Amino acid sequence: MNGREVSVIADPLDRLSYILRDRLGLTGLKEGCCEGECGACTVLVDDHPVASCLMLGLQAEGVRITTIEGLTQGGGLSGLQQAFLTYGAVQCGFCTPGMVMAAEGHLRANPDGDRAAIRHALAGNICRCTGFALIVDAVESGAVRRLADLSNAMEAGA
Amino acid sequence: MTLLNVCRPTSLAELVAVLRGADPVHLIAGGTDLLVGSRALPDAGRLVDLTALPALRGIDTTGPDIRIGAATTVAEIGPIAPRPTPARLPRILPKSRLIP
Repeated sequence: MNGREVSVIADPLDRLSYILRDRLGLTGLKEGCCEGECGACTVLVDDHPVASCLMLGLQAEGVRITTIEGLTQGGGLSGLQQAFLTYGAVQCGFCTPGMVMAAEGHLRANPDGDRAAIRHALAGNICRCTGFALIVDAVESGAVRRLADLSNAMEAGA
Repeated sequence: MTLLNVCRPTSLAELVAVLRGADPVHLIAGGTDLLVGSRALPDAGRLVDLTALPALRGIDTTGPDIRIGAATTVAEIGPIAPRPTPARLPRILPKSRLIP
């Protein structure tokens, strides 16, 4: 769980989203629809975006879970989180943690930042206020920045 | 407090043994059948999680047919489905609008 090992005694039918929020205090993720439609509860399970409302806690045995709280770097926002701020890709903010986690999962597997692929990756996350264009802009810029960081790191290493 | 017994089979033999048992069995994989809000949750019997069973997952495109395991996720299928390659999926989606 965000880099540390966690044990929870839970009911067999306790959803992962409930365990994360109500038992472990990780309230960044939101429960929107509780049926896997809205994406507000998205977390990464072994680097793949998952709707945590449709996953039981017992199915999370032995996996690596990353929540929005686990993205911060050295106490500050990650580049992707910062990009959401920079682009104003947030209005009420309810969908934002799920959006960021879906985007993070996508960029971990597809770092090239292709816009159509980003839109596809965010198709399971619904925003009801600000619209999707700025969100896609933010993720695209996050990808560009990440690639630049990677290439700088490689040059520094070489 | 539920009276559910939990079981996570890791082989088909183990799964078959559970399915042949006397207890009512509730299967879960992606969660959309069991966990969607309006549906009643089971309160007794065996809760069997299918996600730890590698035999039910995976996509095999090596032969003339594409074989997709029953517990393969839609996200895993995604990369082969939306591409405009009609030759690749004629048996699955012969007239699908997904394929231009």
